[in-house]
Amino acid sequence: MSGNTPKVIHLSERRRADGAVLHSVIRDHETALRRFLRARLANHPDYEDLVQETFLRLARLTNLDEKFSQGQACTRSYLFSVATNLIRDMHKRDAIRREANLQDVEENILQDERPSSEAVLASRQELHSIKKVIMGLEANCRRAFVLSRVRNLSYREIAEEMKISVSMVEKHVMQALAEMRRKTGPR
Amino acid sequence: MNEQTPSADYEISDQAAWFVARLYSGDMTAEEEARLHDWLRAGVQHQREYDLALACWDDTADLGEDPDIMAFAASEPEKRKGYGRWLAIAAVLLLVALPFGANLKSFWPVAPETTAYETAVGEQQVVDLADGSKITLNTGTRVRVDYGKHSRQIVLEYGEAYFDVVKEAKRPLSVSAGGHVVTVLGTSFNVFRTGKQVEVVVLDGAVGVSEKALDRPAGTSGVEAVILRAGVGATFRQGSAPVVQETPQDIERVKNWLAGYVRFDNEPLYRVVGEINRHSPKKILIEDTTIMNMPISGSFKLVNIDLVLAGLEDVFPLEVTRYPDRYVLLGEAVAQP
Repeated sequence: MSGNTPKVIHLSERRRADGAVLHSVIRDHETALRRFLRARLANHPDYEDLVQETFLRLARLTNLDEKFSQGQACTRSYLFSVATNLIRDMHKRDAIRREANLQDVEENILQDERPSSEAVLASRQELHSIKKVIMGLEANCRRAFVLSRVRNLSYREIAEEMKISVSMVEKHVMQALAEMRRKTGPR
Repeated sequence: MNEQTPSADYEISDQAAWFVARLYSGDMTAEEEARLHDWLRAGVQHQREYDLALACWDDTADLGEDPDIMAFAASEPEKRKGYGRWLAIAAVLLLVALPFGANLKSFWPVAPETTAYETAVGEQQVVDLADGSKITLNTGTRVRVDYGKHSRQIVLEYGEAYFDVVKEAKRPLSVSAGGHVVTVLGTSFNVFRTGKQVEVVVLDGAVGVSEKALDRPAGTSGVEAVILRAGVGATFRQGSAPVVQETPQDIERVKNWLAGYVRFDNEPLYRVVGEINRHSPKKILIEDTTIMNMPISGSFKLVNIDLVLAGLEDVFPLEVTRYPDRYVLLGEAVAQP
């Protein structure tokens, strides 16, 4: 076959590089991740599992050096978002288990962990009302929040991009959350 | 916000929002953590609002799927470093004659992505491909993978690889090695290419092997495709008829290398050393003609060449001398003074 030089992946180097990157990610972020998980979960029994599982998710990625060469703040927001998703999954599982306990044993056996169609509909409606709130936010507030939550940018990156201070970014995120609480939360 | 607690003028729900915004900044300090836990303990309402604020954050997880929201996430010139590395590397058009009547003039409107994978001598690695297929590369091996819209093409440039192919009727997979092409729909087989020949062993399913005919239109190659089924292997040399046979020993050999072993059954020493040398950057030399054909039997794990040699020394009348750049094998009788 003629033509362009293909991208060559030297597997031994990639494995060595990934191991070293993973090691430095753990070294630089374990304390912060634990603090984050404590703030989210307090004394939850699965706390330690979640710490391990977050790093495990990372370990399963390839090309770690490409993904994590962009600075500490990015890596940390990525880690927090992996952990947040794990927490979400855990809550969902807990909720399903709680519901299952209230039903007959036979139904338990047939129950799988996929959400029921009612649950899917409910969550879609929820997302719709959240979307309305977001669309109603002041433009800068909305931009800062979406950059943080959807693109997982660190506050520092958002500050650079929007040409504002980091503390303004934090204020915007706080205002977005407060609006959501006001408009969609219980009285 | 340099304070460690939100302003007392804020409503509790706003204070909770403040804490969650701080939490996701990534630089919450130990003192702030202590203040957060103090605040949570200060009242039942605090914990409740905190959980609600966290729920707001969590519930926005799927916002990225909404195109309207995504429009606000787009930025002008991409400022993130390293973005270019995440883009696929396009390859040039390929005009290789494919067997089984494939259209020579097929070309893709979108150039396919080519990636090459390489193992060092002594290394074995598994590569996961986008369609779920796997390639296990043996020592000192290089493959090029070209997946396109209508075909999956792999070139075994040198070495030995085991292919576990996921069936895709619309996209046959082909492995080219030397002058031959192995075509499959979905199956598992091993290809071992040396300078002189290509050896194909099929473990599951069936493959078709034909000679690559670059200068003849497809379908008129004159050499029919050889169909190999599970349990069968064949050796192909350019210009001579392939030798096809049922090869339980070759199947064993493939299973063994996949598991990291080599096994010999009364093999002459020079062939044993040849095989071990494939896996060792530091080569073993036999400097004693009397031991060349010594029959060797045994199983050796390939993890560590020194261990393999120690094993050989133990069981057979051999002596190994270890130099910085090579190993030398002599018969025991010769080595004695």
